[in-house]
Amino acid sequence: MKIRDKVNNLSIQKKLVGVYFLTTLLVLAVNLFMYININVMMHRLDQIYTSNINLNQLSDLLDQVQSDMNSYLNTKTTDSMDAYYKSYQEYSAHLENLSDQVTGSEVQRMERNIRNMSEEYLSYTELAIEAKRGRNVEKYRYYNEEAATIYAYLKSYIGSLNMSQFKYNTTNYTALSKALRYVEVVNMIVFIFVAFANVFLVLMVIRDITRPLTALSQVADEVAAGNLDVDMLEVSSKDEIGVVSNAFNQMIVSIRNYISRLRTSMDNERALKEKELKMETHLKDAQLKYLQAQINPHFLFNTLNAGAQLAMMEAADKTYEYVQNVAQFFRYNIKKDHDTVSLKEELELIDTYIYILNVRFSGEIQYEKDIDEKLTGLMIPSMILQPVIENSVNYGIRGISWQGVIRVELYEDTEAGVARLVMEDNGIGISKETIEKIMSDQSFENHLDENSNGIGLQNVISRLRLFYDRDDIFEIVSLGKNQGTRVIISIPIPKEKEESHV
Amino acid sequence: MIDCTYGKDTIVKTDSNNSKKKFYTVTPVLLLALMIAISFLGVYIFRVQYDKNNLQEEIEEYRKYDKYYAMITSNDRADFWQSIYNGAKAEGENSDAFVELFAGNIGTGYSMDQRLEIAIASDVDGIILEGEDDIVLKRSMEKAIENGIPVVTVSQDISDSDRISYVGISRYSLGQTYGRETVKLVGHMLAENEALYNGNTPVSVLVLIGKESDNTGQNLLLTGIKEEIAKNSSMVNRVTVSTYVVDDSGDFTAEESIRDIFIGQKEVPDILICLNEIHTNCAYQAVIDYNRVGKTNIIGYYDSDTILNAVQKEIIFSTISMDTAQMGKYCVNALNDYLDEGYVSDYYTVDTYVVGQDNIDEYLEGEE
Repeated sequence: MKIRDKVNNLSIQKKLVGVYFLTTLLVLAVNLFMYININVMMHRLDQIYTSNINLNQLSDLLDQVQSDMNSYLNTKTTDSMDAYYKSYQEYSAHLENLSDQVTGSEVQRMERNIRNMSEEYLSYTELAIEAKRGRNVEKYRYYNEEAATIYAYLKSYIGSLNMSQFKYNTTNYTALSKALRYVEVVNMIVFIFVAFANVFLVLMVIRDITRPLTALSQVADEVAAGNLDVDMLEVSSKDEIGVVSNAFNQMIVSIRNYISRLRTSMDNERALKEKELKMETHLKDAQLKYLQAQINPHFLFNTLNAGAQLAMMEAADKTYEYVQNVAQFFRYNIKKDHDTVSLKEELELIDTYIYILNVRFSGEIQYEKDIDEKLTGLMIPSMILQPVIENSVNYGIRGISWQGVIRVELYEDTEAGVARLVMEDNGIGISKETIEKIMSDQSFENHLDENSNGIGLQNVISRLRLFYDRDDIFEIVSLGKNQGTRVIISIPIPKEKEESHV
Repeated sequence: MIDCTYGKDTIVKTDSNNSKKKFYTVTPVLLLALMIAISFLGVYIFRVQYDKNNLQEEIEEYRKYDKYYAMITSNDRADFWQSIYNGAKAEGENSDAFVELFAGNIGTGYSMDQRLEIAIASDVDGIILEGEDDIVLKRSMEKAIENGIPVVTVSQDISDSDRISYVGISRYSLGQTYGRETVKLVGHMLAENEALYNGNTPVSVLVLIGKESDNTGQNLLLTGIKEEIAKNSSMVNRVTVSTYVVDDSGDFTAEESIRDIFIGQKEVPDILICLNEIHTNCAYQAVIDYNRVGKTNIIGYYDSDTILNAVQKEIIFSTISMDTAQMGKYCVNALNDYLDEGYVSDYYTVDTYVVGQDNIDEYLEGEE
């Protein structure tokens, strides 16, 4: 694996050159080996018949010695004598090449015999020449005869040896040429195999090199088609492709991150817009409901004002005050077509509302206030407190046998950094299930009570939540049956405002 | 849920990728190894094949010998001489001497004396020679001795020569053996056909003698035969012994000469005594060809397969043989002793034995 890693870390150029080099080297090595083998063989083939050539030379030299001797015996010239000694020397020198051993080899034994016979022959020729020089006719004739006899034997002996050598050499030649043919076949097979294996090897290596490239192109294709959700490319090499693959992987990761970030911010924006829209919708809805509930408040207000002046002219002070209050209540509703109002205004509306109710229901409700005046400047969405009080009156206090009390308290909870507006009654209370239902039910399109001023508690809750972007802004507490109900609105105090207040 | 499946898919993919990776790692390495292996295998096979073909040349690490003996016979190819040669050669191997059936393959077939001359010129260490009563051969032999080359005669001696030793059978005792066999055969024939061989027509015995045989030896042999017959008084007058000279001077003449016996003579002999392997073979074939089986009996020489076969078929009455391997061995021993110690026993006698109807089966079994 280590080697593989090392190989993987090479550049493509080095890889390709390496493969080429390796395979070529192998082919070259095999080739060289075969070539050397064949060469050795050819050399041997060349040498096969040298023994025959040598023997032929020996035979020729023997003839030369014999004819030179005869020539001298015939003519007795110095030239022929020189020629004789020359061929004598040459022949002797040639004899040295022959074996003088008795061995199991017939050829070697024959060589030995030829050598010995030749020596005897030469000594006879020498004796004949000597005798001729000494003019000993009888002797030189005798030696000449002896020499001639041995010459004849020698000739046929050499002929025989030549023949058997030739036979032997031919056997070798046949064997060699057979081996040579065999080499050809082996060479062919080895070369064909090595060639195919080489091609295969190169193919494999190149495939190995291009495989990550193919994978890269496939993934790139997918990405180009818009699918960013692809698998990361596996990078095993550190060559050029490895680098490109890594870069590609990083690019995909970056794109993905970028897209996800983009998506989040878009989501946030959309949520914000949605909230705004909702707020608007709710307000509009509240107002719509309100307008639906009060047919032309302007007309009503003007009418009531006229009533108040009439009461003043008639000096009916109580009536005047009452009508004046009712007119004020409606005027608030007409005036407040904008989003936010101060707590002060809201609290004043409650005062007016409770006065009207007390006139309507002959002072049944005891109204208590404990307001921290520093906090009355806080801005809240309009039409919040009146529906809560209306709720308390309609569902809490109405119909109880004891004195109904409504208590409004505003104080600062410095720990939580909020202004707490507590609206409390001592009515019949609300069961836990009902509280949960009110708190969880976000839809404000539930039917309006016949007796309601038109704006439901759910509408108030959701508007508060949307406005402050907090879930704990509105709280309903009831200790149990006939234990009364407490609504707590926790209004966050803006920092600078807080400071100015403090 | 979808994510989960996706993850699994990825894992499977990685697995296959790993195995693929392994394949891509292992295969090139294997391939490379295979290539190298095939190359070497090819070279190796080539080497083996080459060596096998060149066995002759490569492995010839010949043994060297101290001594070189030439063996010269009248018929190198005959079983008899091959057998002697093998005995001699085996003994030579033991005593660092190479024995060669000399110059048999040289030229167009030299005569024994010429081969002897070549051996002398070749300066061999010793000569084993089949003796012949031939003056030229004798002269060549003497030349060898002059050149300091010891000569041992085998099977037949050359009388009155300086050969260092003779290995073979005493001609006289061989004659006696032939004589005993003849008596046995005659007795057998008479017992079978008493009427045929009365006083007027004695049993004729023809002894085939080689033309170039040593005369002294022949005489001793004939004496041996005759003496054995004479020992049996009842047979003396009923058996005639005569000789027939077979002309075996040239090639193939022996066979013609023996056939002449059956064609030329009016009376074909009742018993043929053959003194060498060739004569025995020729006589045996002639008896068959001229339809003389049962009429002309043969007492043969040597125990070649052909002859033993004929004995089994009762065409040859009996054959006299000797331990040829022992003969060869004695020849080499004689030469070694002479070269080592300067003297040697004049005669080496080899064991003879008779193979006839009564012991042929035993003999064949023994050979097997």
